Amino acid sequence: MTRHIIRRLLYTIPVMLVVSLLVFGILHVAPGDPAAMLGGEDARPEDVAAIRAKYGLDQPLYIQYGIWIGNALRSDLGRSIVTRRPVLQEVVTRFPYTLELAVAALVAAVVAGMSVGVISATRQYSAIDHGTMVLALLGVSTPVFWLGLMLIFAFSVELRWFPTGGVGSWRHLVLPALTLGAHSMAIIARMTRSSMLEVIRQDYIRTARAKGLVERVVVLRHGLLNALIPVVTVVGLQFGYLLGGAVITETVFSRRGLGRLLIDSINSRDFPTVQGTLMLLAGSFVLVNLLVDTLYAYLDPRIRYE
Amino acid sequence: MEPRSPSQFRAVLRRFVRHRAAVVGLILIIGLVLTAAIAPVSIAYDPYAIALGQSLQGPSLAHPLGTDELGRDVLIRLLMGARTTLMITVGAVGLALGVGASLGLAAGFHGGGVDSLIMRGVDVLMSMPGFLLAIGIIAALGVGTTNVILAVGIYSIPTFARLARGSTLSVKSEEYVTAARAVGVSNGGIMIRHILPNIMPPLMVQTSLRMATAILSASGLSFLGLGPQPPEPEWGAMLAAGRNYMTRAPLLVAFPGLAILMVTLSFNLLGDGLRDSLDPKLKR
Repeated sequence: MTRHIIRRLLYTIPVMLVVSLLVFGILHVAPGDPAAMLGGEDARPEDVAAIRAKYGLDQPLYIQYGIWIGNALRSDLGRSIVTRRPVLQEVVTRFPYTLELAVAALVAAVVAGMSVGVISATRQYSAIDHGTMVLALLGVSTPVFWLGLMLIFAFSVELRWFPTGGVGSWRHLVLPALTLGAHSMAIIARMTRSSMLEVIRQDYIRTARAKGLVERVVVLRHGLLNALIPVVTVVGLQFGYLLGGAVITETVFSRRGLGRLLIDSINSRDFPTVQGTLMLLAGSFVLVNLLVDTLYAYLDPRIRYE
Repeated sequence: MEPRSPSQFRAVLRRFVRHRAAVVGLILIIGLVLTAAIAPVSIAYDPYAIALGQSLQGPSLAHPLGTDELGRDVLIRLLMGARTTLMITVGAVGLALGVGASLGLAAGFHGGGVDSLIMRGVDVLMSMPGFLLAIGIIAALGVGTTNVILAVGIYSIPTFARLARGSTLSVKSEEYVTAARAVGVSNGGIMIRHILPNIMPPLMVQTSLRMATAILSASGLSFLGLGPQPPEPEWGAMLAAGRNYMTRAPLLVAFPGLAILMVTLSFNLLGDGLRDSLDPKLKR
């Protein structure tokens, strides 16, 4: 188990390097002089020259990358062109809001999605099964921004149950988490259903029933536990989707998170902030996948002893 | 698994026609394509003509879906928006299918170093969540319709590459491939004439499902202001503009969203139906 985790931990190093190369590349693929872009529109020529010297922008690309990644490892992601504050400070203050949103959405999606999937699978072809699967199909087809706006219209504007946006209490989190989680909820429900259907046809389920176990134990312990592996894979992938979707959800609900920051900084061509935000978001994706892989080993002894 | 003889093709077709949801999806998609094709010649108003005196009107005989904040006819902008949406999605998925399937086919067929090189390249694209990669690409290239096509296309490449590689691996040791090689068909000929047709069915299913994802991603990027720029009619952008008037004219937000939902749903239904008819074993 420990060896498996260490191996996976080591594997994240090249992945993070690749991510950093992609993020580094953004500034250099963009048309224009990187030094001038880092300086911003109102930078004086001597500012631009200073930036060029500091980041080695007159050096070959691999040296520039070395300087950039070296700085990043020392927690220096540069300064925001707009606010002139360190990028790290900007992203770290906003990260909790995005994390809170993504985790709340994920929890909602896993709890609701798995329950619906199990209920559907145990009542295959019933009205409940058909109904929930139609809902799930609508869930994967609904644009997240539209769902958010419709929820705001219904529950904030008309019913006044929840605030229209912003951050603060749990009430600010309900609608955004539902909006962001709906798509994943639908996918997890579909995945759980099909995985459960496969498992409950196995011989060991028949054995469990034959020896007189209560149906609840058969379904949950013998069925669901064995059906979890493909579901966990989907949950890990969904976290990546949630980080991307958070960008849209934060825009819809005017939440000050990383996603909102990313879009604002693209619009103001604030490249250091764009890079810092993407690094942090992609880094958390890598970390969650590491967690998911560890969870596999826990769930499936075959992986542990491989 | 795949249609090889006319009778097998007929069996697939029969299963597809019986799949009611898939047929509905197909009909809706054909409707969308026709709408997009005839929209420019059939419309009564200019989709760009601003009439401030008629802004934010409700549905009426003259404007069946009302008017937007600049007094433009919403129905006509929705119809014209279908063209933009369709162009972006077909472009993006076409790019991903073309590049991804070629790469996957080459990787699976050649194996060894070529395989490792291509698949590591694909892994690079998968190291970041797709939508974030798309946003990063737009951050680098700038906003606009072409760059949305590129961004959504590039992040969809891995799906097709991995699928094509897996399918190629499973058919390349079939007898007809060995036979083709024995009679001296070149590698390129084998790949294009013998392997490609046999890995098409799963690629077709994935194309339809990916169209659904691409519409959601592309309209999401437009909603964020990273896609087609005003005044070009696009569903995501129309929604973003309409949200400022949501309390006064909620229909302005409702209609473009419903349009996106319906098209996405149609492609999902079609994809599910294709999968079930091509491989009935998978059906539950």
